[in-house]
Amino acid sequence: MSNIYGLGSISSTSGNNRLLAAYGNDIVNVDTGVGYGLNLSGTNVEFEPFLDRLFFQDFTKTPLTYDPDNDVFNNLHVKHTPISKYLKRWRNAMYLGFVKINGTNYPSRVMYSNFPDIDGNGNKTIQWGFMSGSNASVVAGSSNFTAANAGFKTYQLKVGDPLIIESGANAGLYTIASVDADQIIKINETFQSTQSNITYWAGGNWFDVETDNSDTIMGLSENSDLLLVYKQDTLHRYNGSSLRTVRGPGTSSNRSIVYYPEFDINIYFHGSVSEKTGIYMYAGSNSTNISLAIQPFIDAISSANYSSVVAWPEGNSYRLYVGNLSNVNSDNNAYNIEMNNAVFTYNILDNKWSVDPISDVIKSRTYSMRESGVQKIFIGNDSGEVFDTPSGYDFGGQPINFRYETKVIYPSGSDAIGHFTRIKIFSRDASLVNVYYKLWGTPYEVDPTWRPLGQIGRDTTELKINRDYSRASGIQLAFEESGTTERTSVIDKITTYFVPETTQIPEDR
Amino acid sequence: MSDNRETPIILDNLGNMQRKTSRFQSTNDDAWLVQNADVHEIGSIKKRLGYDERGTTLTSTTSTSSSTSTTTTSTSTSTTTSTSTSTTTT
Repeated sequence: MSNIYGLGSISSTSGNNRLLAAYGNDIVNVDTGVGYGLNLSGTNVEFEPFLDRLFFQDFTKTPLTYDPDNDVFNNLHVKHTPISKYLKRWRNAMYLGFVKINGTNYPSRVMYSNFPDIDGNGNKTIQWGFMSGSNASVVAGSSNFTAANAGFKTYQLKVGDPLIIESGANAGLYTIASVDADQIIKINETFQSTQSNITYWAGGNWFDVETDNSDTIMGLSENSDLLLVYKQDTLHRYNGSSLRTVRGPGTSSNRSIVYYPEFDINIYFHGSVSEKTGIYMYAGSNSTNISLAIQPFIDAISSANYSSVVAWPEGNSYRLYVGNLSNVNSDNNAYNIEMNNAVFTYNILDNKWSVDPISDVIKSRTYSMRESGVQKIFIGNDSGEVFDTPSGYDFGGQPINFRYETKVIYPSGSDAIGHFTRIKIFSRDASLVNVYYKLWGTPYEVDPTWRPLGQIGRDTTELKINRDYSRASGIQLAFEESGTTERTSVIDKITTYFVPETTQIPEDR
Repeated sequence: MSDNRETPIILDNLGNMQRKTSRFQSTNDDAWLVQNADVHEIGSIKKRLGYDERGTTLTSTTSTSSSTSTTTTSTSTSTTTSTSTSTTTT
């Protein structure tokens, strides 16, 4: 079994819902298990729905599109299209980020299609204003540039577009003066030498985003009707004619970017130096760090995972899979963090965080499909499994480990010692929840381990604290339940009772 | 029987995980750890839902032209349009 390298989903206008997974060397229909024989290379595959089709790019294969109504792949809309790492539909065109032309990478280049129009068969389609090849020829003293089987006219190359000859005596940049036919264009000068088997590319639908540095394009999104171009260290917005740099970092992982159209915000992960690593929100102006409340957990992410974190939306929450966490550097185990397969969850409306260990290594996500009018969210793991989330009372058959720890409660401040006598818990459907406590300041020590108090029994449960282990200045409580059962425990209120003893810590004799 | 010297400390705004400050600067309602909990209902915490497998586990790829083929490097083209071997297409 191997990774799900990419997930794509679409609901067509005709009502066909399809879920596709890039798995092994193919793309597979998840619901039928049948592949399409695409012979992919096993690199990450990104999908984007547009014009009732699923476009995909894997930075290797000549692009195709998927027809959900006929359940086939073909080259409609991508008859001559650059190869890229990232793609995004924006303002009724398709944009590609980090492109490859004739085997050469352009890590800071964005290329885009023309707007849809009607082809010779009466069908709505897009062209890319782009042509490339290696069989062109020119004659010295002529301005004609000829390429057999080309499509300069069909693919909508324009007067004024650049033509780049990549090698040979005529290598250089030219400008198209006329597009005479599919296989011949003219430039605005004459060629110096006769040359054949010319490797070239032509087209004007592109722009570069601050080239000549190591800051490469990492993803595309949108916000406030602007195209967002994420690089590793910087973030840029494009209005259709000009670029502007946004204050705030870029992203280390394309799959961490989630756009919420209902709020017009983007949330994403940036991983680099420790002071900047975190989860950021872009709401149209600047990009700000929103994960300071869980900073010790951010610090516990392995830097090796910065480029592979995966996020998805669940209602009003942003959920980010970050892998295993490890931050063990304290003698007080309360400050140490070790967790496998962690997901950080951020509730956008309430500004609240949780840290959720799950049972799988998540590699990909998609959420472009609706079933019965409801948005469907899918995540793919490293073992050929695709999951529907949120759903059910377990993690694909494995138990959900629910845990809640209060902060250290000092009823009379850290300098007053006394006895914690009992706790009262108000809850619903929580009869399987176990309760623990830990004393802080006894008077000089912290309990190294949790002590069991009992189990929640009814809607109001009172648990007495053993007087022999109750004397301290502070107490911390923990509630835990692990299982796969249907009941979802709810805790509404916790009351802790304390009897002060002294107002001063006695001297240690 | 309760002690009339008892002081109750009430936590009724649960779910706000906060590790930004020291333990002396946070409010009593701040949580040290919220794990697999849904906090949509203000004040309470609820065990989170999980996820269910869609379809069956993928163990090989089977092209539409064959019912039994396994993961291969074949270039079955019954459902695709081969785009080119040369580098220009029309």
